[in-house]
Amino acid sequence: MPDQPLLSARDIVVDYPGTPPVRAVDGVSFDLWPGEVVGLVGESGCGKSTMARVLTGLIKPQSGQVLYRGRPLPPLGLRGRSPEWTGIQMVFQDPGSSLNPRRRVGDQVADGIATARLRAAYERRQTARSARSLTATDSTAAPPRSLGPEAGPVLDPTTGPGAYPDRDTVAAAPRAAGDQAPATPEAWLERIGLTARDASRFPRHFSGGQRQRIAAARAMAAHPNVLIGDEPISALDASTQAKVAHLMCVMAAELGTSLLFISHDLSIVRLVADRLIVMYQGHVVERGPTEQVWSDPLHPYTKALLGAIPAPDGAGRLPEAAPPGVTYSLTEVVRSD
Amino acid sequence: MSEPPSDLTQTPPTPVPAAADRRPTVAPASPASPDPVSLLGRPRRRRLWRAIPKAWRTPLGLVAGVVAVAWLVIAVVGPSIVPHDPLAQDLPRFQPPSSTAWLGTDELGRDVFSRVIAGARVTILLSLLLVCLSMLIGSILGVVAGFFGRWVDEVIMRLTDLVMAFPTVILAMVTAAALGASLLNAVLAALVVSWPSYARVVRSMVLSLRTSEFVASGRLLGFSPVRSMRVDILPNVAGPTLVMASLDIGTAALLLSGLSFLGLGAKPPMPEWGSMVATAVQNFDKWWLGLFPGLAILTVVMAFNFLGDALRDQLDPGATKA
Repeated sequence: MPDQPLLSARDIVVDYPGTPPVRAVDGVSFDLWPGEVVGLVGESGCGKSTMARVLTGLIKPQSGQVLYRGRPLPPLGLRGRSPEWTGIQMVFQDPGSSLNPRRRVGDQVADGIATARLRAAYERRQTARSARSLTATDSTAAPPRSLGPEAGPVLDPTTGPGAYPDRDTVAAAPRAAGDQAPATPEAWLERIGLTARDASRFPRHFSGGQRQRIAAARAMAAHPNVLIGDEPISALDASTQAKVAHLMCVMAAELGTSLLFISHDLSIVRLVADRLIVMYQGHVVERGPTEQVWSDPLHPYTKALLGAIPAPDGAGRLPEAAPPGVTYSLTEVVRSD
Repeated sequence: MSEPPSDLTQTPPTPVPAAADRRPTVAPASPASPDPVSLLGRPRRRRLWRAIPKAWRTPLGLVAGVVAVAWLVIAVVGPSIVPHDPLAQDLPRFQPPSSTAWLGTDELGRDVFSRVIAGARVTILLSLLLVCLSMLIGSILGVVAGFFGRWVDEVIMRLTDLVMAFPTVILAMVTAAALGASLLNAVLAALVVSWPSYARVVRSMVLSLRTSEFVASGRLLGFSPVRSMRVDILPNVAGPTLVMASLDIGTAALLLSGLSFLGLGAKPPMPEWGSMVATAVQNFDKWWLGLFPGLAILTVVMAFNFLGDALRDQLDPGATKA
């Protein structure tokens, strides 16, 4: 199945109520492939965060579809989410509210681990069920003998292909495999540079950067196939930003997780992303490999965005600001290579 | 972290009531009068001091705690320690405080001290019952309204608007009058008017928590609504609600006493502070009739209010720093 995108957005349109309604996202489509890191950039209010919430199912789009492993993602309603969809995780923007203030961080990370277990068990069951239905359709004349000896190796939950199905069947890139990942909250906290003793502490005892790392650890502990970072670093100071972004990428690479990194800060995204998607006023205006977009931006808005990055060259120049009132074309530029 | 708060040097503004001096259960209460300088020098008392949660190490918190605990003890053991039967009419009428009747006698020759002690059970236990019930009903309705939203929310909130549109005491009076005068009906009447504030507060907290990022994270991790509620929402709602409830105990005591004062609560022979004050009003020159039950109401209300303040300081996650 490597020819299928892991997560794809098809013509997403989101309106926020008002008079007249505000169209936050207007026909955005993109794919996220297994194992890649995609940067979604754009100025504030361009619809990046709305896209993040649509991709996780927190918002139901007015029209369009989100497909996760080829199946439409149900929006998150009142009912709990089935383990089928917990392969999509998110790290939020605000370090002050991304963790429950009244629970020990160890317990919160443990929730992620429990989710990973539940999904592994669920996918083992699914694999077993599809194996069973296969044997049943093979011999249509005979009654289905689901527990026959020939089904044995498939049904064995420890050695069957379903042991880590979310990793092995979907991933295109070779994986470091889930069993190298930490398996206890303490190990996860050590993985992100805290100590095991911190597991019994509360979020208020940690700095903003530490909280974002804990939030990332909780999301990664769920062994997601897709991790969406909705400006996870924008509330942090510069050195912490790099640390958290780097950690998220390294962890995603270790587990083979695809990462959609949303930010308004191109200079950090450039360091982590394989591909860039540039959004402007609810539209995708440019996309392509990071180095190409960085060195050869085609769309005038991308050029302006790149020009707005301050250069620490000692010359004391202010970044070129777009003149007020300038609007850019909303049609996407297509690279011809 | 190691030194007690500096405001300890000020004297507690709560007057220790005269009635409290005679209560047999009130210990000398050594932690209530701490001297910060001598405390630092004495390791044993310092350890005792440290054992008290930080938010309670204030004069008000300590005094309130001692007074509230004393009243609770009196409410439980009261009837077995009274010097006279609170219903017996065997003493001379309208006697001022003396060595036989410590706080004097009332218009039927009953011992006021015994009646104040016996009245603690009625007022305090019923106030606690009332607050617990209204917190329970209000919180459940508030959680349901906040969590399910839409028409459920509309119906519940319009109901609270309806109840809140009436003056509290009037509505309680109407309910008590309709149900008939009895203490239990007074509690029911007070319940009718006191649950909406809980429903409102809990609903607004649930609403804002429901959209918060850690709740969304939990939902993405596959939390069922029940688990999300139990793990992420309720613990964050419980603190403020408990504080509100502890502040409400005083109000409940006042409301119940008020209903009894108006003759809608306790029936005549029963010792109840509100109805005792009501008889005192008819015999205004006999000051001991009204003063002591009034002081009892005052100390209970103030103690639980200060207790609520201390509880709020303790439960506020930002206030305690490790």
